[in-house]
Amino acid sequence: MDVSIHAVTGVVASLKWGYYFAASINGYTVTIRRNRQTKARTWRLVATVIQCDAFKLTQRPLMFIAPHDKGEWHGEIRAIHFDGADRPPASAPFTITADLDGLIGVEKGTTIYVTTAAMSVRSA
Amino acid sequence: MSQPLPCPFVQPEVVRLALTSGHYIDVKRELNAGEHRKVWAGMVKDGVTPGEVTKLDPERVGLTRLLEYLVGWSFCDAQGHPVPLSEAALLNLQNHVFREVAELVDKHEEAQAQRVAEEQKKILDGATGLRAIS
Repeated sequence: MDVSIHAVTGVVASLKWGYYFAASINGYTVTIRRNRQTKARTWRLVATVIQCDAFKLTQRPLMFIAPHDKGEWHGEIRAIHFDGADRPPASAPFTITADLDGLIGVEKGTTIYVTTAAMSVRSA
Repeated sequence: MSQPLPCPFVQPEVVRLALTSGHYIDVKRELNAGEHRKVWAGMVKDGVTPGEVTKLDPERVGLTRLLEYLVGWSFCDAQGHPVPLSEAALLNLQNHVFREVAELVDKHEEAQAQRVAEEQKKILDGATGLRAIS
């Protein structure tokens, strides 16, 4: 059984493919869940896309980027669904759910590494 | 066995170009079709009317191409803080730095055009099995 252990919420974020903006997000939640038996962690993103490039949104690697007070959250997307479908809808807004590899918080002077194995803080 | 067909989509690859001052600029390896159209559309003045000569805005000529190519740079302000890339920041550069950036992007674009032409030639040679003999 999964148990929710942490959530990151915010308003402004984006999805990027390389240097390209694939989507602009207005409202997101990243939920970190842990399986009680296996102890494995999973990162699930739910977000509202308000503007997107339907081609770039299907390319990989796709990165979730969310700015915060001291830097940015970065998370690589493993799998993405668009309002339950595999292809982006013809027009925004729409909701996406995505599995992330983890979240990396990039701050000035310090990088917080959050991986699927463990959570640790290291100096940059 | 046949070769896989080349991917027709531009991949988001970045090339770092060095300036003489020790700074660098990061540029897109190649613009995609949409970006090429934006370069053109961005410098047209008063829109396009069929049958009439299209007017260009001299202030935008050359600038729109730089804005499409540039991805990042190492420039800092007088206090040493990194300056994010923007049109405003680009226009606040010293004129000789701006010119050097523009020249670097020109050379990069020429080199990429040559690379694409060579790749096209290789594909054509491969498709026909013929090679130039002179």
